[in-house]
Amino acid sequence: MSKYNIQEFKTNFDTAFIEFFNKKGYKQSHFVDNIRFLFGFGCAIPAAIAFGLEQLHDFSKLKEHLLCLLLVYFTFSGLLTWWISFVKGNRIYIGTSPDQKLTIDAETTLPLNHNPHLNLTVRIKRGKQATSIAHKLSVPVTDIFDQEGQISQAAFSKHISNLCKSYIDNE
Amino acid sequence: MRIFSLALKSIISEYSEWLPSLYHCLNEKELTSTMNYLEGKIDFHGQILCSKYMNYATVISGVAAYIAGWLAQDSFLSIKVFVVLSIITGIICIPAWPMYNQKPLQFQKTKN
Repeated sequence: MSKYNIQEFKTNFDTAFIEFFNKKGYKQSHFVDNIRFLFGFGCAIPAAIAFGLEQLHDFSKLKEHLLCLLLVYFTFSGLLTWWISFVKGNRIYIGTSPDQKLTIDAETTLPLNHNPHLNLTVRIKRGKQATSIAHKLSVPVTDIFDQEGQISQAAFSKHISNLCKSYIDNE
Repeated sequence: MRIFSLALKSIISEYSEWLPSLYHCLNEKELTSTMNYLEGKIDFHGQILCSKYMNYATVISGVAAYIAGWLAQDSFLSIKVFVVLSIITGIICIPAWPMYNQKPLQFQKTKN
């Protein structure tokens, strides 16, 4: 990996974060991604039907159903855009602890500037609480990545373990 | 027709003989190092600088091309001016010039 590639730094950190919590026994929830795929298929299916109608019959047959197919397509397309922009956003992980008492919802951002800082926000919900508490961590990329552009396991474990000790393991 | 198919077969067999050997000459490490060398390296400050230069240069190229075309009353001149200025912008922004690597950061040490 070439150094100074913001996207790859973020991807590597996100992957390491997900693996860290999955190894701790947390159960990852894929609900947000599943709904996104559903909306994606909701867009693809009317497009496929329109294509099929035009291929098998002719354009006049497609024209009868075109308005309906377009409405369905744009509805799902709008829902997909809303879901990706506002619901999924920068979320990378939603997981439940092994004893089902804790739910964590993590998101990361890594804006490009002269000395980029990786901003991690973890929302923790204990038990059946209605509200979650947000904890933020901002780390310079130079603290986590090494000269080859790979994640430094020691530095990564140190930061994440401190976060866990401070906020997650304290009851 | 038969002569044509025989000729085609001989060309294909010759082609298939040297193409795999060419591929095996360049192993993955050499290809990766060649690509890394061609890509170069620019730091974060350099990336921001390059992005700024590209944005300003594109706007200036567009405006200059429009003005040149308007003064000469020639739309093709406008396109020519834009293409030339875009090439200059590309020369400034695409290669990893040393001016884009002036503020390197200190990362963690690699563990062997």
